[in-house]
Amino acid sequence: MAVKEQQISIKGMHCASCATNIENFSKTLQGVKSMVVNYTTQKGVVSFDENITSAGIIIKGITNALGYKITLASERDLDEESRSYQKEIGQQRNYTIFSWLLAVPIMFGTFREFWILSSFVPAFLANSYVLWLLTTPLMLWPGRQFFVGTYRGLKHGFTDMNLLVATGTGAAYLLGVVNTVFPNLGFGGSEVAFFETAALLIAFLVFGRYLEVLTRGKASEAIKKLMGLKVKTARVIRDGVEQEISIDEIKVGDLIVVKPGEKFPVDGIIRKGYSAVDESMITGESIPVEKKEKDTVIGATINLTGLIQFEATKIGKDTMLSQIIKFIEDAQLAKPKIQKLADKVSGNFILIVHILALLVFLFWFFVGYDLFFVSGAKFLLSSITLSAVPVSVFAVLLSITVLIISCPCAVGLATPSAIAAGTAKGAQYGILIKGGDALERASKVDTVVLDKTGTLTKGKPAVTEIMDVGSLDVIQILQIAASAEKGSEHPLGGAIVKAALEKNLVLSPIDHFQAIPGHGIEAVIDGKKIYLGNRQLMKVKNAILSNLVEEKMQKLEEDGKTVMILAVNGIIEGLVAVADTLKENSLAAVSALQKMGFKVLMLTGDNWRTAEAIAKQIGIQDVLAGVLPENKALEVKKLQQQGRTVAMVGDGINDAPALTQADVGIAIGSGSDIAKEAGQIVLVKEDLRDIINAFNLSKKTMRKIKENLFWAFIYNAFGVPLAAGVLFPWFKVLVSPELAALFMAFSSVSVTLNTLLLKRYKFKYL
Amino acid sequence: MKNAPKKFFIISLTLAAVFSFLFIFAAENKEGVEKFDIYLGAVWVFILSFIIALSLAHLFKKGEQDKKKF
Repeated sequence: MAVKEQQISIKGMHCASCATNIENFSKTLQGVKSMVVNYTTQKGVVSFDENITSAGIIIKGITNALGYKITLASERDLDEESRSYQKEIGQQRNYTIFSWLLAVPIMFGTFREFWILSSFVPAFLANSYVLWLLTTPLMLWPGRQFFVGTYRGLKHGFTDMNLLVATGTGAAYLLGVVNTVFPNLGFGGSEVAFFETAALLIAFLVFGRYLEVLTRGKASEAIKKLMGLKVKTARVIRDGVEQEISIDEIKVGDLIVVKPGEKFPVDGIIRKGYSAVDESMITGESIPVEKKEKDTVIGATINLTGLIQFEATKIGKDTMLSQIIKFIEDAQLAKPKIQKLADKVSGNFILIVHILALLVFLFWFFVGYDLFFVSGAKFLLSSITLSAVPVSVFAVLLSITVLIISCPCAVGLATPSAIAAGTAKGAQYGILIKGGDALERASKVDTVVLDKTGTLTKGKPAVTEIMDVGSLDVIQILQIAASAEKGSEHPLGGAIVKAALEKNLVLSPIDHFQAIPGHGIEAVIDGKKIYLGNRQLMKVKNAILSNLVEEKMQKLEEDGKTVMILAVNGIIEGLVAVADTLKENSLAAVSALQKMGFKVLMLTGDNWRTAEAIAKQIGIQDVLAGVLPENKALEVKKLQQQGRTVAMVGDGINDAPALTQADVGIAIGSGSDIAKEAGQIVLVKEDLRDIINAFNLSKKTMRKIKENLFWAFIYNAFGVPLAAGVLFPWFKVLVSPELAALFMAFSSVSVTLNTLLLKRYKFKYL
Repeated sequence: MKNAPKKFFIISLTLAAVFSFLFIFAAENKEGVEKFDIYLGAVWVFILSFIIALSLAHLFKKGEQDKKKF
């Protein structure tokens, strides 16, 4: 069995239940393993057995059956998508304008006898034939979408919100037609035509749909913005000639020229030039980063000052921008556990609502009308009174209202819209979260395990101290040590050379150089014999360490530093301490995490002395040192067995098992691709304070989901009994179907607007 | 698979018709109910029962599929 996953773009979904229908229908197709659809982003991912079916067959199957327009995500055309979205907005806007242009005169005509309306509403407008004439185009044009959707669903045994609307508006319209053509039949006659109910229902629902389309676009605009960052052409040097080519034609290894003000088309390494680069669109970092030869550049970032020539190392879907887009798209399709409840509820809601509508009808028909109906009953928030409404019309009216008010769209929207907004917000600040599940687990974390090397520390040794113990001063010691190490490839030697170059020291030429593995180096500079290395080297070369030197060395070693001794012509002249240094914000991040009540541990394969020295600097009490890579996951598991929800933060390949084992794996963006693959959250910047931001964002998003679900359910919890007429026996008031439509439209819109408040959330860097 | 929706459709129609007749029977035995009330009520009961039956059939089909998968 060869299971393949394919991302798709879906057009034509009007409600979260459309997404559920596509998911359910896909499962009936041969070879389809699973399908996840996000209504908010209008995207989906289908996994299928390649030996049985293909993406094309599945797409054709869904399109033929349900009528949605589906394209492969890989064939995605941003311009086309934007055009089609604008077209959808335009269509719903036209529907809304058209609906209201007709609904207002219909409403005035129907209620001409009330209030001061008769003074300016012409009499012919109250004629039920005129009302019929005005309502029909409304049903046929903006209202058509509900009936077409219902037909497509019913053809395949699916029920969705279109059905609720179609049943409600269709029943109201047909009642109106019957009352107009056969006024004596007894359904209330032309006095209660019901055309205004059908017209206002359509008008409110189309207006709600228009608002929903508008807000849906806002929720998924993060991806569109990212896609818009892509460059279309690049200037490449081929055969010594500079030529402009399409970005798709760039190959790995191409030398690309980027002028100031232009964007880097793909990821690569600078081969020539120096510039400041604006990486804010990828990392969220507002300050431009200085870049020189051998530094890496990210595609879509802006070259600000200098002319740069760089070599392409990652192209197409491998660039960081493409990875980020894919990350967010995958994330928005991953459902958290909390959504499963919402899906279950909204999936069966249509059935429950119809059962309820039937029960409401039967109750009012057989019992309620005789017991409670009195002439002069009113609609809620309206001055209209019901006088001679027959029992059947009264019971149908209440039943329609229940159908209209119960649409579960808000329930279906609550979770995916919040996840889309939360992941997009994170991406904006360089925090990539792999979906709702990761968000949900991140919000419950109580223990943070931090890897040492590359996570808390820079992972590269640097000179931390130089001590003079002979006749030379510290600058001379550094100059000689760096000159001797110039030819060395050892990382400690590299750190010394880097320190000297940073101080602009001129390095002397070497007459002789020899590396002594495990001990240090031996060199001759200006005729002087230089030894730079550990105690063993000095012992072998008969350079004697005084008690004072030994004492100083031990103190440095206790702080976890590697100390190198410099001897010139057999005399000890100085000590050079090299150590891995803490990242700029490690201390702030750890202390903030501790203040927030998280248990913070450090996990490292390094020895105890070095680990404790770093832990002491950073204020971590719990250290797990000398842990082999294969045991890192075991240590995380032990913590989980103690009932803790663990987040593991790491960057290396050796951290990947622990990142996977942890409840939430947080990978540092500068780290290995394997670590990034294993992590559920990726921090694009190396700023550890983003761990706190990631936790806060996940908590905020989960709170938003809960708020949304609460509001969505509360709308129905209060709306359905009201619509069913629970207040009628005491107050003689009813919810009109129009008011129900207004409630329903605003429940979806209020949920989406509540989600959009996440956009205002600001990250804090303590 | 293609025949399933058709089968469910016919079963649902039949069930809806049965419910409507039951409604008519009950309504006719109720005092003070006009003929048109019974007709309108029967149509409404038919529509709602049909949708309910169809949804239940769909749920049943989904349950069967889930069972097969495991």
